[in-house]
This record gives sequence, structure tokens and C-alpha cells, in this order.
Amino acid sequence: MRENNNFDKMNDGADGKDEGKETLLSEEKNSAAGAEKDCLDWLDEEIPVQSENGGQGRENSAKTAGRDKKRKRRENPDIRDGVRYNKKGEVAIFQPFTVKDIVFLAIIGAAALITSAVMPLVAQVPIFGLPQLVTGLQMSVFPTIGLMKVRKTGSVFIVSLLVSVLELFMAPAMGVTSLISAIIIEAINILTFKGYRKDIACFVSGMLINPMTLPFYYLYCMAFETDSIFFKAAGDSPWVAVGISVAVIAVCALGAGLGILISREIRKAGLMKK
Amino acid sequence: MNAVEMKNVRFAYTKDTWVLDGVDFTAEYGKITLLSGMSGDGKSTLLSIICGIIPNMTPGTLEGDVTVAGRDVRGMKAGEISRLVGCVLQNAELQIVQSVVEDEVAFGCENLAMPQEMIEKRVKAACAMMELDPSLKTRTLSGGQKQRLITAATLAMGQKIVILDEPLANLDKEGTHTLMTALRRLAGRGYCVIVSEHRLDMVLPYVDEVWNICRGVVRKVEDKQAYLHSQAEIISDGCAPYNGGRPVLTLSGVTKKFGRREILTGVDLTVYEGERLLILGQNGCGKTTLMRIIARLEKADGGKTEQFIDKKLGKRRACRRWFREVGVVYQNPNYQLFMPTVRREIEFGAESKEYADEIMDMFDLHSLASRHPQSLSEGQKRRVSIAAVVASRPKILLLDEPTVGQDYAGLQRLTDVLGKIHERDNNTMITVTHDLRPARALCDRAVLIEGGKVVKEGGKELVKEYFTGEE
Amino acid sequence: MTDTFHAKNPVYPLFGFFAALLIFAAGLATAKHTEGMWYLLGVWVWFLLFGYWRSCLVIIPFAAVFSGIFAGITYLSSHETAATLAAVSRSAAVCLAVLPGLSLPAVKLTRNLSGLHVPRSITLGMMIVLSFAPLLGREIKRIREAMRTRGAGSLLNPKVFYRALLVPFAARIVNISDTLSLSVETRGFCTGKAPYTVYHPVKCTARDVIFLLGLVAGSVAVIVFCFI
Repeated sequence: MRENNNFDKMNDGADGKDEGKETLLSEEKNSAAGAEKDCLDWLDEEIPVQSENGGQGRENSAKTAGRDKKRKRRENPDIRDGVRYNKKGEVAIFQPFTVKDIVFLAIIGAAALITSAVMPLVAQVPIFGLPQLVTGLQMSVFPTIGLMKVRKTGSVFIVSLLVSVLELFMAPAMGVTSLISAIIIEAINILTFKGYRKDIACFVSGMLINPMTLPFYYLYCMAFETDSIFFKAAGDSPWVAVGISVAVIAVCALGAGLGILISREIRKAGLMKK
Repeated sequence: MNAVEMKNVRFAYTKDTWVLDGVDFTAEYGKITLLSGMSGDGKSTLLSIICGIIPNMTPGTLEGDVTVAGRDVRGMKAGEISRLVGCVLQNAELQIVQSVVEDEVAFGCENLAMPQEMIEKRVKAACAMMELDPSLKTRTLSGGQKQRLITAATLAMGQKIVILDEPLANLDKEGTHTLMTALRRLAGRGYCVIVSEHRLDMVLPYVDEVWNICRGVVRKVEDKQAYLHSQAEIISDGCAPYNGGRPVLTLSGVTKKFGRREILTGVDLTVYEGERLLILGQNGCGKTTLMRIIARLEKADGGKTEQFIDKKLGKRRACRRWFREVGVVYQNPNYQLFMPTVRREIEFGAESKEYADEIMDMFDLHSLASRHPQSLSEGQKRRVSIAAVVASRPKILLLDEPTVGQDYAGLQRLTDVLGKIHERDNNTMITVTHDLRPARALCDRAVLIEGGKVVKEGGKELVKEYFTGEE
Repeated sequence: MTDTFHAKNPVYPLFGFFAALLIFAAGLATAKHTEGMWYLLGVWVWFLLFGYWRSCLVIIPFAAVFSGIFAGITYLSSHETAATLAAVSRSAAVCLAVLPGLSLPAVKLTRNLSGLHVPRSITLGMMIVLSFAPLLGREIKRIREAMRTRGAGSLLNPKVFYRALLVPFAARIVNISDTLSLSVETRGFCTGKAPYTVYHPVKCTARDVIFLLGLVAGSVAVIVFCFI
């Protein structure tokens, strides 16, 4: 390890370490009481306490006022025990995300990403549906587990966003399409289930994450890969495309089902507290 | 003013099972306070209350008065408490978010909205104190460095009360010295430092006050030395003395590197049939790596390993048959438990249901039979994972830290059972442990590893020398 | 995003990201024209000029193998030189578009985003995904090992296989996320509108602007040449 000058200086006061603990204690105390100038001084500086709007002094008053208004609007709905209620007193569709939720979804994203590490390579292979087929299981098992724990509208979008920001660099088309399809999935969920309170809602959304990108992928292939022989088969006969899509959906349904089973079991074991 | 004051505090995660029951505890500014006790006795719970994790993030029933820095913690938000109390949690590896050391250290300061120049100075200071190079990549750090990094990340935030939960878990002697000296310096400057640790011998020379926690009750310890001796109740060995046998495994000149770090530099070791071999050594000396090489989970870079258990097992590959002969109990039981109930977990590897029943009897698992293995406490999980591996009647049993999380009674039972099975099956047992209490009862022969080599070999007297003589 | 690819002084992350999209789109659109080839070569040199030499060199063998495979298959099936060349172009464009992302240390991207007041939960989430993906990879390896030690590692018994893999892994995920979220919260992180600062913010320099302008000019030029 590289030695640091600061540390050398600091260590001078602590050399009596081996002469028994009593010397160690007293010497330490003495050195601290003495006028020794060391790096610890920086730690003693008071932390400037800032008001909620303080930030870095970067905002002007107009901005602050706008933010205040916004916050008021946001705080208006009644939040009890971390659950937001709308004006009618029902549980609202959009629930606030806690740090815990975000961390869990991010870890889920990491799990999905690492298990589909082949994706950036496969995504470049212009065979219709191949990337979805290869990553179908992983991209449904883990997000479903995520949904079963964080049952909030927007969870699918957050997982997709976190994963796709990294995908964007590797396979831009894939990243953009998975973002758009995540929004569609959330919309479908709001329209049909109004949130993820039921397991079936988690199942449907978890299952749809991958197949939902298929139509976009179809368009992409049509636009850029028209002369590619890999795609010709699907282009010539729509039934090939339909067949592949059905296979992808089947794989993802299996994955989402597994995700539900596993999370139920984990919850029964008491690990998945809300 | 005391930094932390708890009066008649009771806490339960679930209704009516009080993890803490009537705790009175104080910690002063300018002192290092040690909270000692076995795993599962409520150390972490007590610390979680002080740093606001309970009841803000982990729900439960909290009664009594808790005052931190002169303020009642009740009603305080986690964000407020985090400005008063710095908290270094266990499992440093799972807490590193950033990819460069300095960014990780700066993370807490950013959250407190410190000005940029201030962050810079603090990052430098905290890294220097923990002997870390700020430009290192976090991914390349060793376990001990990661622990120091997470500590630095907390110290940089500059709270006057600092809590460290089992900070020595990944540190060797040197790392321990670095950390504890730094903490002494903080205490000298008027910080209140609270440390929880079960390896008493390592921390006692550095601390001012010692509190013992036992079954949810806390008391202050006045005589540190007497306390140290009282904690070391040794379990006696019930097995007959070892009579010798043929060699079953030999390692000669085994080396192993991870990246640039040399872990093993030439281990020569022979394991004899039917013996109980204990591997001793400091954290990070390569004990676990050696076990993994013996278990064929890891390939050695150089040297020769040979087995004489069965010719059919071959030389290199760890096939299914190999693991039927060689039972491996992981350090962390979570990886090895996957069935829906404890009973099925044991039956999975057992030759018959009757034998599984017998094993469950021996390990006292009948009361847990229908529980989900993942729902058990860490100590119980470890018992189940040992039982599940033993149930398949391996000829060689490798145990990596089998006793963590066991209270004294549990420990005694476990050691007894392992001894009984050893005598009945005449299996070969290789154990790695940090725990002084059962060490002699798990050992016919002991080897001491230092600097990646076997430096000493001996019988039970070596165990005694290692645990009490030199430290 | 392995360290070997990291450029010493990568361009402004958002520009790099935009550049990737641009190269990808322009490269695919002009794949059937010879100008497209020249365009890609130009982009490669442009990257080289801006200090991306390491990733520029490392990508060559990758690109060669990658485009070789597709060109080979295309040629075998169509026997047309034009189609083969187009396949080469396409693969090369894909490889080049990956360059800015590969060369960018993740910290720069997140610092950039937090500097632009992207919600902190998102930047934290990205950092977590990045740093925990390899950690989870190691976890999976450990679980696979543990499965073998218990004799549950065979794919022939899928029911046991999936249990032995997924139950411990899911339990670990829950465990890891609990520890991490506690750690992050005790270090003062909170969602919402709490004030915060950015240590080492990433600034946009003239060099970055020149890089982007050059790339945009080149892309527009090649599209004009090819289609108008």
C-alpha cells in the first residue's frame, strides 16, 4: 500500500503501542491533548447545518418558491405508515419509494444484469427474438421477485431504467426499447390491476417485461436489417415471428411463475418483510 | 453529559419475545466502550437502537428511554440521527457502492451537503487514518481493506458518537492494530466510540469500559482480566486418544495466488485417516483457501495434492462421488440450505429416513423439523447445515468455522455430537475455528498457518499456546 | 465496463452517450454504401485523436472476429459481395458505438448525472447495479459450488436444481439489500429533496464540445453523401 505522508505524521504519536496497554492508553490521551497538528483536525470541523432548501446556494428564490409549491403538492396526500392515500381515502396508485425499495430494486437489476451477461453480444445478432429468448428466464424471475417485495407502481420502470442505462451503451436499441416497454407495462398494470397488491399483477407484469420489447425489435429489424438473411425467415413468413413470440412468452411465463413461487417461499420464511 | 444513555430499555422484533429486557447502558465521550457477548445475545440490536436503525428502519416494539447526545431519539428521523451518530455495520463488502475509494468515503459527506473543499480534506484525513490509498479501485480491495474503507466512510462524516459492530471480523492482527489505534485517537479527542466484538483478547488492551450482554441483559464489567478468563470456558474432549492411521490426503508445496496477492506460499500437510485436524491461524492467513483446495473447490497454482481415499475418485475433478466421500460445511450456512423444511434438508443427503431421524435426534433438530431453513437464526442454520452434510456419512468432514453463533450449551452439544459421530464412523475431521472454547475438543492434531505456510504442528498443547500463550 | 478499456480522459459522459447513439444510427443507415465504411474509419480516428487509443486498439480484434462471423455467414448464404460488405459495416458500427461506453468509468457517469440534478435515487441505483453485478456473480458461483457439495448440482434433476440455486440466491439478495440499505441510510442518504453536494463534479469543456461537433458534422456529411 502506498504510504501517505499525512499518516506518517500522525503515527508519530502512536508508537508506544507495544509497551503494554497502560502506556498505550496514557500516551494516546497525551498526544491527543497536546498541540499535535494532524489530519484529525479536519474531522473536528463543524458540519455546516443547512436548511431543507439550502443545497449549495445554487438556487435562486424563484426556484425555491417553485420547489416549495411542488413539495406542498406532493405532501398533500395523506401518508400514513409509508402508505399514501388519495383524497377519497383509498390507497393511492403512486406510492412513494423508500431508500430500501430503491436498493432492493437496484440489486434485483444487478442480478438480472449479471445473469444475462451474454445479452450485449446476443443483442447484435439479427435473429428475431433471439435476445429475448436467451434472457427471458432471468429477466422475468428477478423482476417478479422485485415486484413481490416492492409492490409499487413504477417498480418495473425503475428496474428497467437502471438496467437499461447500462444497456444503452452496450446495445442502444435494446436499451431504448426496454424503457419504452417498461412504461407500457406500467400503464397496462394501472389500467387492469391498479397496482401490485395482487400476486397475479406481479406475475403479469413480470412476464411481460421481455416479450413487450418484441414488437419494437420487429420494427427495428424491418428498418435496418431488411437484407439480413437471419431476419428474412421471420420477414417472409409472419408465422415464424409469431412462433418465436409465443416461445418467448412461454419462457417468461415460466420465469415469472418461478419468481412468484420463490418469493412466496422466502416470505413464508420471514425474510421478505415489508 | 453521557453520549448515550439507555434506561430500562426493552425491545422485541415480534410481539412479546424480548430481545432486550430492561437494559441500562451508558457510554461516555472520550472513551472506547466495548459491548461484548456471544452472537445472538442482542449486541447488534442494542447498537441498532442507538444509531436509529431501530425503530426507524427495522420495526419492532421499543420501550424505555434512549438519549443520544442529550436528545431523546424517539421521534427523531433517521436522517437527523445519522448526523449525530456514525455507524459502521457488519459485512463491509455488502456496503460498498462506489468504484473508487475516495468516492465511497465522500458518499456520506455528500449526503450531509458539506462544501466540496471540506469533503476533500475529510476524505484525505479519513483515508490516512485508515491507511487507505484514496485512488484505489474498491473492487480490488482485500476483506480487511474493505472493512477499513467502510470505517473511513463513516469517520469522514465526523459524528462525535461512532458505533462499530464487529469491526474486527475481517481484520488480521495488523489491521486490528490500525483500526483500534485510530479509534483510540478519536476517543482522545473526545469522541464517544462504542465497539461490539466477541473476540475479547483482541480488543481488551484498547478499550476503557467493558459491558457484557447476555440473554438481553446488560451489565458493566469492572475487572477486565477476570472477565476475559471467565469467558473462556473450555469444552473438554470426550473422545478416546488418536491411535494413528494411514495418510488419506497429502499436500506438498501447495501455492495459491489471487491476483497479485499470494495466499499460500508452499503448504506441506499430510492428513491421516480417522484423525481430527485443527487448522489455526490469523484472519486472512489462507485457512479457508487451504480448506477449499483440500475440498477441490479451488485449484492450487502450484504443488501437488494427492488423495488416498479411493482410487476411483481420481486426481483433480470434484465429481459427485467426491462430495459423497468428502463433506464440506461452508463458513456461511446460507448457501447450503435450499429445501423447504429442515426435515427434508436432512433427508436430502441421508441414506434413509431412519438415519435422517437419528441425525436429527443427535443434533436436537426435531423441534425445528417443519421450519423453513432460511427462517432459522444463524446459529440454528449452522447446526442444520452441519447435520445435513453429516447425514450423507462423508469419510472426510471439512468444517469451516462451525461454531459461530452457538451459545455455550449449544456449542457443547454440537462438539459432543461431532465427537460421537467421529468415534462411530471413524471419519476424518478437518476444522478451522477462531473459537477458543471448542478448539481442544475438536482436535487430535493442530497445525498453525502463518505467511501462507504451515509453521507449527502439534497436539492439544499447540491449541493452548495459540489461544492463550502469545496473546 | 472493465477497467482495461477506461480512457484516461473520456469526453463528457452525456456527449459520449449521444455519440454512441449517433454512430449506431448513422453507421447502420449508411451500411450499404462505401461512404459508410469511410465514415466509420473516420470515427475511429476521431476517437483515437481524443485519447481513446487503448479502447480503439483493444476493439480491433473483437470487431474483426465479430464482423468476420457475420460477413462469412452472409456471404455463404447470399454469395453477394455488396451484402457481405454491408454486414461488415454494420458490425463495425456496432463495435464503434460501444466504444464511448466501454471507455467511461462508471463514476464519471453518475457524477455527471447527479451534477445535472437527476434524482439521487436513480444515480445511487445505477451505482449499485454496477458494483453489485460482479458481487452477485460471485455469489452465484459460491451457490453453484455449495450445490455441488450437497449433490444438488445436476441439471438432470431440474426441480432440485432450481430450488438449490434460486432459494439461497433469493435469500441472499434480500439479505444483501437489507444490509446495504441500512448502511446507505445510516450514512445519511435519503430520497426526496434533502440538500446534497457533488464531490468532483464533471464539467463540460471546449474539448468535449469539439468532439461532439466533429462527430455530428461527420455523421451529417456521410448521410448527405449517401442519400442526397
